Amino acid sequence: MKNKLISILLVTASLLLLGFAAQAQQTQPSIEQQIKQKEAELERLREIKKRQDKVRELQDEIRRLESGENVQPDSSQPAVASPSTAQPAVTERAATPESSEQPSTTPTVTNPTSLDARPLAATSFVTSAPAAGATDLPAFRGCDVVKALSDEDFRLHGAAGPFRASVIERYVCRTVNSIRLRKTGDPTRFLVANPAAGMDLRQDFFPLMITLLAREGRAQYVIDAENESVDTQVSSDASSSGSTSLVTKGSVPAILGFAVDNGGLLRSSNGSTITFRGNVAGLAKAVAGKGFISGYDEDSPATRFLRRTAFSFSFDASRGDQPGTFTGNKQQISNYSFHLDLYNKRDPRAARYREDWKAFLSGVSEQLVKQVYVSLTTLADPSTNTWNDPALQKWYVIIDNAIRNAKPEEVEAILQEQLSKAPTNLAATTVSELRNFDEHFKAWLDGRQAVLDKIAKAPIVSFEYINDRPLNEASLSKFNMIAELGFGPKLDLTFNGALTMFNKRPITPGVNRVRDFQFATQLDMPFGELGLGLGKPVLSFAGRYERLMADATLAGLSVPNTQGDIGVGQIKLVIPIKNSGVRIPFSFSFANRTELLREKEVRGNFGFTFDLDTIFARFKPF
Amino acid sequence: MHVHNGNALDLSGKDGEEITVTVEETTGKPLLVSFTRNGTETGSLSPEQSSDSFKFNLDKSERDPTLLTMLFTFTGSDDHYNIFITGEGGDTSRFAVVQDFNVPGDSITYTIDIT
Repeated sequence: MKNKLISILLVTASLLLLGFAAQAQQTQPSIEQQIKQKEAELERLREIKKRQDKVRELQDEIRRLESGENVQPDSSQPAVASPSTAQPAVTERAATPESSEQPSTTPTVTNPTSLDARPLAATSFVTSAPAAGATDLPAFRGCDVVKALSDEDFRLHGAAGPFRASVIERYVCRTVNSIRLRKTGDPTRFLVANPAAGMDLRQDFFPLMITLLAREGRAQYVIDAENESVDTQVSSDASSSGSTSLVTKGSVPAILGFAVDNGGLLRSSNGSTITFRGNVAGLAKAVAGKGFISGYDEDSPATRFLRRTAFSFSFDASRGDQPGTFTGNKQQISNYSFHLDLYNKRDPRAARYREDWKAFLSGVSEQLVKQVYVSLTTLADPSTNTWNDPALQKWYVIIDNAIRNAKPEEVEAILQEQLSKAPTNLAATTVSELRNFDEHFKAWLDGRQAVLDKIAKAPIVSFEYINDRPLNEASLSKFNMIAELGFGPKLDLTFNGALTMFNKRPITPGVNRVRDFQFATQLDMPFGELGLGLGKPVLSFAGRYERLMADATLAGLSVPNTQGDIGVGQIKLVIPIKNSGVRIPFSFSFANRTELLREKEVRGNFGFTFDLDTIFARFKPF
Repeated sequence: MHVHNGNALDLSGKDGEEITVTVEETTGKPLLVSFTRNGTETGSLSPEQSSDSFKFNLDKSERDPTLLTMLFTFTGSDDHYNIFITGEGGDTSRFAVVQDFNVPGDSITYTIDIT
């Protein structure tokens, strides 16, 4: 027994020794590898030395310039600092983003020679001025609000916009989402979960430059919401259920909620009515994203056709067996609709826009990508995930550290807070690069917008079917043809022709299935910015002719002598107040009669509309 | 070519190795991609196709690491670009640039250390 015990102990000890030896072998590189590593390190140090020399030269030039000496430009030196030679030595290094071996972001000195560069770099940047016009960033709205607004704006206006969420808000949320997905993983983006993921200049440099532009205060177009959108109905956050007191329960709302959560449907509330909008292709994509459909092809002819369709259905939660509770059953359906684009020349991939896109790519797009490269290599080192500007690097280390230690759901709050604290005491080189980036970024945005505006003006003809089920009234089917055409700078002309029918033949003698037909047209004329804090006003002219084929009904009863023609005209001017969420509409309407009264009616209206999300985000009352 | 630290944008390859970059747009939008390699070679992919590719050879004397910066322009909502990078053997780098929050475009940079 004793011998057995000794044998077991000996075997265990041998195994442990073997294990340690194997581990030591694994961690100890061969002589050849060590030589290679040392040579690589030597090469790197030489490169750093070159950069230090360059920093000294630039410092001397700056000093001479500050003291009023006329410095003759050295023809051997490029006007824009060459990325490979002019980078100051970096003394603080954040961990490589995805490196599991280096999870800490505590600044560390990576090599002895970089210590020499530290005072040089510091002196170099002391001479730089704070960014002129540096500004506090506006309060960011939550990314759920930004998503709901931008989705709704896209649905209404397409990619050309305008968008009520600003460029900076959308890029901040893009970064939030990107980092979240790095932490949680996302197979559709080839991302494996890495809970310690942080910032990565390889993929975050672009939005960070846009943030710095906004913070620096000269690129107002990045901060401003494109709030001249007046034909958009002001609505509460579509994804928020806080705007309604209704309780959501039951299996149907759960399915709808799933589709909403996965981007297949858009939900909005108005009073007790809850509306869901979507299209079959989007719904299929959302479901396919969860693995319920295999072989879903985004680019198949069937999918392309389905992308031209849209549907919506509204529930009135005040109806049914449980008034005030959204059950999503048939009794609560107040209307549903189907939309099909019959003729649509607004496909950005259509052959008619090919030359426009080619010119865009060979022009402003290639110029911007070159600028991104120059800015990146001048201001940062993507390999080590560090900025050269000490103020930026200090700020970046704080953000990166906070993000690495954050849970996915904490990323938004951290990022929004830290981005608002982006430094404004930037080095002269950084400010100069921001100017260059600004110029090319704006040109690229404008170039893209020009093509999208052209696409948005192309003719489109759609068919829409609406089944309206008013409470205690006869249900109706409305068939609507919609034609839209843009022309001139931004003029938009819309034409509707509609026929409304009773779903069941009315019992009233002499009344047939056709209730009415109508034609309507509207011309929208946007103007330039007014200044004085006012946005871009839009003037609209609209007219509608309706022929009532039978007397109108009210609460199920026929209103006598209401059959006949109705003409309505309206002139409307809407003036938005920039970045406030407030819009002031002035309108003048006239009608020969209403549906229920055979009397002329003239109305002048003046009012305010509020986008509460914008106001709350700005003033943060809660 | 190898992918490092689980980061599809952190690559390494041998001096002279041929690298192939393939980009596909998966949502039926035009392929609007511009790129620059080390700031010396700049170009764009063909917007007429849903997928296109380009090749280059790693050159230590030009720049090490090689930097490949790409700019993606979005024209719709939820636009989705997949990028695949392969060398002569080794790993395949897979990355996706997706349009979130209707941003107009996005940019990424690959770093390729030359061994």
